[in-house]
Amino acid sequence: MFPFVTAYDPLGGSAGSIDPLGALQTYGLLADLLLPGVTTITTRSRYLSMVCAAIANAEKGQQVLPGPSGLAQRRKAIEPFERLWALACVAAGDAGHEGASDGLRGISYAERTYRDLRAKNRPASCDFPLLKYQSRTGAVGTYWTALVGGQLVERDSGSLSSEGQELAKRFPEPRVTARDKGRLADPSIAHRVSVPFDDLVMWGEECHLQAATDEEKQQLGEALTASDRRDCVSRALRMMKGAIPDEWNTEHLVTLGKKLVTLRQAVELGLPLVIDAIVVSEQFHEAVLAAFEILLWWGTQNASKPTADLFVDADFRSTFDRCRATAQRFRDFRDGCARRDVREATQGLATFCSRIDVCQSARELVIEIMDHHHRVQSGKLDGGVPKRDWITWHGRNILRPSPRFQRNNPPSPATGISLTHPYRLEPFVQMLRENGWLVSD
Amino acid sequence: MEKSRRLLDYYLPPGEGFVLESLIATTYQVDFEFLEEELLASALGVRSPVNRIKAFRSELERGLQKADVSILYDLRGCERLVRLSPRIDAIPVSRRKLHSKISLLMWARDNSKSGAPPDRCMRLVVGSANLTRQGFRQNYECVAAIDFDRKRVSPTSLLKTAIGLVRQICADRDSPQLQRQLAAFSAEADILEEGTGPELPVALVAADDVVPTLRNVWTTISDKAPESLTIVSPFWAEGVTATDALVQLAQQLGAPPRVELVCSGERSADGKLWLPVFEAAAALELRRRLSGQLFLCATLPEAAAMGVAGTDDIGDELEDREFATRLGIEKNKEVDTHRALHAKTILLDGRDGSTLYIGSSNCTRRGLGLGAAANHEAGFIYQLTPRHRKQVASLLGFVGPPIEVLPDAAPSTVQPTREEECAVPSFLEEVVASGGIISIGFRETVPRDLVLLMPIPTKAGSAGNWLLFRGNGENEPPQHLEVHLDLCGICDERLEPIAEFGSRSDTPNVYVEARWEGHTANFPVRFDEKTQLPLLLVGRKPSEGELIDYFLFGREPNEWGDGLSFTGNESTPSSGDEPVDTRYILTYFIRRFVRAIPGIEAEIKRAAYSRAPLTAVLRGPTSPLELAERAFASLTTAPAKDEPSKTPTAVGFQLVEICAVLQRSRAEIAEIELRVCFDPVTARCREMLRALEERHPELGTEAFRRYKEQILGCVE
Repeated sequence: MFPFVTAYDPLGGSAGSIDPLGALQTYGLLADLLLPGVTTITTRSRYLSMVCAAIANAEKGQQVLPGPSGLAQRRKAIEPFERLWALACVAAGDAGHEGASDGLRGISYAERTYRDLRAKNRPASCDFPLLKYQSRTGAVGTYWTALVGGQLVERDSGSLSSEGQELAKRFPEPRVTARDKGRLADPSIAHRVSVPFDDLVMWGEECHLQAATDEEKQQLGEALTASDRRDCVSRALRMMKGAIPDEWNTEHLVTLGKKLVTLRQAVELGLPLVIDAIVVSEQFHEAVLAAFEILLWWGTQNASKPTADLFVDADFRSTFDRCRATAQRFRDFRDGCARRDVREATQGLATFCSRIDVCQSARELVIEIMDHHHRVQSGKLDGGVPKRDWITWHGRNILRPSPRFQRNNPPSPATGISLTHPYRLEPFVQMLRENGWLVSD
Repeated sequence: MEKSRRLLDYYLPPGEGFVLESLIATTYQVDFEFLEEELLASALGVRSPVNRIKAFRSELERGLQKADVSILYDLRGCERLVRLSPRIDAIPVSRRKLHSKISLLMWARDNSKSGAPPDRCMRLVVGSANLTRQGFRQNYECVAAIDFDRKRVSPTSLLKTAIGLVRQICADRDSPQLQRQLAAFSAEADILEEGTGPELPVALVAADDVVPTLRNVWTTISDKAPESLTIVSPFWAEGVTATDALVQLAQQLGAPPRVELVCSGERSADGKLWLPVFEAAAALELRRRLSGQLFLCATLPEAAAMGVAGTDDIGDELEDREFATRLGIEKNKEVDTHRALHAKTILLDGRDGSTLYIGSSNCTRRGLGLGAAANHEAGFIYQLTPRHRKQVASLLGFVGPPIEVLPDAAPSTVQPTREEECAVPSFLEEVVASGGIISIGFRETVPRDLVLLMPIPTKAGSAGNWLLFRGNGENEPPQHLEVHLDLCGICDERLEPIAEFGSRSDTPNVYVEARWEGHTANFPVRFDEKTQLPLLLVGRKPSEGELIDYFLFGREPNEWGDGLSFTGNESTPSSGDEPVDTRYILTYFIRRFVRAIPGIEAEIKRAAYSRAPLTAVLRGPTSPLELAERAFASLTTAPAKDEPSKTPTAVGFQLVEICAVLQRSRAEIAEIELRVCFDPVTARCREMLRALEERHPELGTEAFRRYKEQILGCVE
């Protein structure tokens, strides 16, 4: 091939360099206590039906291997089905069905292929690339946790549970011959499946992301609330009717917590305490993160100035006060928290917090933040892979951010309102809404 | 493959069902964090996001078990070894500067359903990009990739040259994995049909051959001198004779009347101008010595024509991206883009066509072999017709307007700065781990104060270091050392001895720390017997019950945990009305084992298209061999939690059945090379069976002998 100049590609995987102060572990544990089995990128619940239908088709169309090979086989068999379905969703969107392909993984690939098919009036097939690596970022990679959490598939084997089988039955079958259905179940011959364009469009009418029937919606809602924790949160959300935000912050979480307090089961599960834990840990993390961002910015702008100049800065002193205040609140919460699971979930930040809590000056705060960041990056706190420090401190006097993390603009101060992590509430609300389990405002 | 300008895409499988089998890459710099978390995670299709550390690492290690990955890098090009997987062979080179960027990839696709041998596809990627995040995501880099398989005609001579260049680099390296990989590439290349195409390079050249080959190719295009010479390079010849080298280069390339030097761009000190990074005095002298015009060009900070990758591929993002967005990290990156120049190209142009070089050679004496010892370099040379002019122009889309250098005025430039090279332990030849034994080879004069430490792998915190070697400051250390970790002293960072606490890890770390003459640097450890490694460096090996559950249900052992909670019945046994707890009943345990056998066979069958996955499945941490070893050991160790005490007959039965599985699976494979993978495993299982029979008279009964004969046929 002819040589090329590489594209600027700053996005995509961020190399795990997203957690300079080691708060992700706490976030993950708290998010699992609040909404287990949901991730931040599971946004369209009909994926669950489609995957169940694909697995059912695979189990019908070929002999499934025992043990770990069966799991791999089932997951792989979903991919051709997903590609054909993605085309059908795009076809439905093209026919004017609102939301038919919103949130479709790999929509740009499916649209390209669909446009080509339509222009040439050719039959559809699943022989086209969907995503750069479909098994990684497609339906399986993205929705598997939700399928397991929704009790639709068995975690180890990937076989359908009875609920999964029922959901599969409700999903409209692709308009292909019995022979092609069998081919669709086998990735090695699935490219031979051929669907007349009109049949694809007709299938799209009923299988697109927005087209679930009432019975299917009922079942999807049940899957979404299959865990007691998710069920309680969905009930509390219903009580918040009219006050559910598009983007959540700590104030909205407090409101949700107040509703959860009124639900006996939620209290038994400790959900109000989980909300409190999220609020105090987020406020603490936001404060120390703001201080850390100031170090990145200040180090970029003042490459040769001693840090003593920073310590006397009035804005930085107020940042110091905020860090200490939020650390104290975090510590008070943990001291008074009776639930072991919540205490354990917040353990990851507790040591750091106790160090910030006893800082007597801005200088001590910077020392603690820099030392903590270094420990996080070296992988010493959680057994992770060592990574480069974002910023180093020469002689504890000059701050040097690494080029990738230099900042040209001062960061916004911490307010205690915004969340530094997505707690999966937005996608959960969206999925409940699309199934009528939560009324849109 | 689908055309893409996103470099990472060239490391993804070429089509449905292809799995990465082998990757050899040469590079000057390497960022192992990027390599593992982005490049290999993409290439192996790891589903778990990086932030889920345990799941991510388990999945990555499982992927790496089934692929051979060797990275040859310059010892000066990696400040810090942040690699955690012992399954990647990191091979440092220090004798001659390794600067070439060659990637050789091989994928295989199982075709056993149709009874055909597996499809194989190879890809050769050559260019200027190091294996770093900047190289793949940020810099201006110039790269070309060529695919090779049995269905198409490709210039296989280029592939063979690339294999030869890698062989040259590793000539003094004794890595069995790398040798095996190169042999596999050569064997596959030998099968392919040689051919060429209009947009394919005509040669792959090393540093010394760049200029002669460019000149020779030009003479096949035209009998006139080229009209222009354009050289793109971030680094240029330095020192008092720098101009001599550039003049010599221009003359050797036909002394074209117009010479353009494309340099990195930087803002002037007052921030008002965008200037080329080039020594002004050298430019002036060069202009005086060249007969024609000389121009300097600075690369643009961000060329709109080069675009941003990914805007067309919505849906490829993982959960990590969401976190990054929330923290504002990605947003921040978009604000102030300054793409650094790292591409290296030489273009000879004239009315009759063009000759183009793209590769790793900077315009330096060592990069182009201009009167100095040449680096290891690699680049493609193209012979182009005037019809390709538009494509050639697109390669230079990042170049700013030319500034003519006049003979009587020094041009406005930014003075280049020199980076100091850090001290590296070039006296280390190799460090190889085999079980708990570390072999250290030295090559040149070894510093007399040398200290070699190996940090003990831990899940968190520090457990101290194994003190592998400590020079006494007087005697010269030996040329080869062999250290047994279990006999090795443990010390802290200050080399003070420390007491052991808890159970001691016996898995070596992936690097050693060398201290000498006030310097400190890391050096990688190579693991030649990877199948013996636990899945995770800081993890444990699965128990027998976990292995049975794995083959029975597909339940993956929790290597990070303590192994105390597994199996189907997780409740604590209790008395009273509750059902009988069957976990401690041998018959139930053996029944689970029997039911797991089809799972073992299915696993082997699924991997029986290629050596690496088959070896991993047969001998890795979740394999029939591991199960046999656990069963064999169960007679001499206390039963694990949730497991019954075993009898010799039960274990004898298990070993016979495992041998039978191996025998059946082997018989189903046609390829001799793959059948060979079974031999050491079968031999070890039979050895255990024999030892068991010798130790336990109850297995010498006629009944057991007949059973064994019936299952395994005539044995011994």
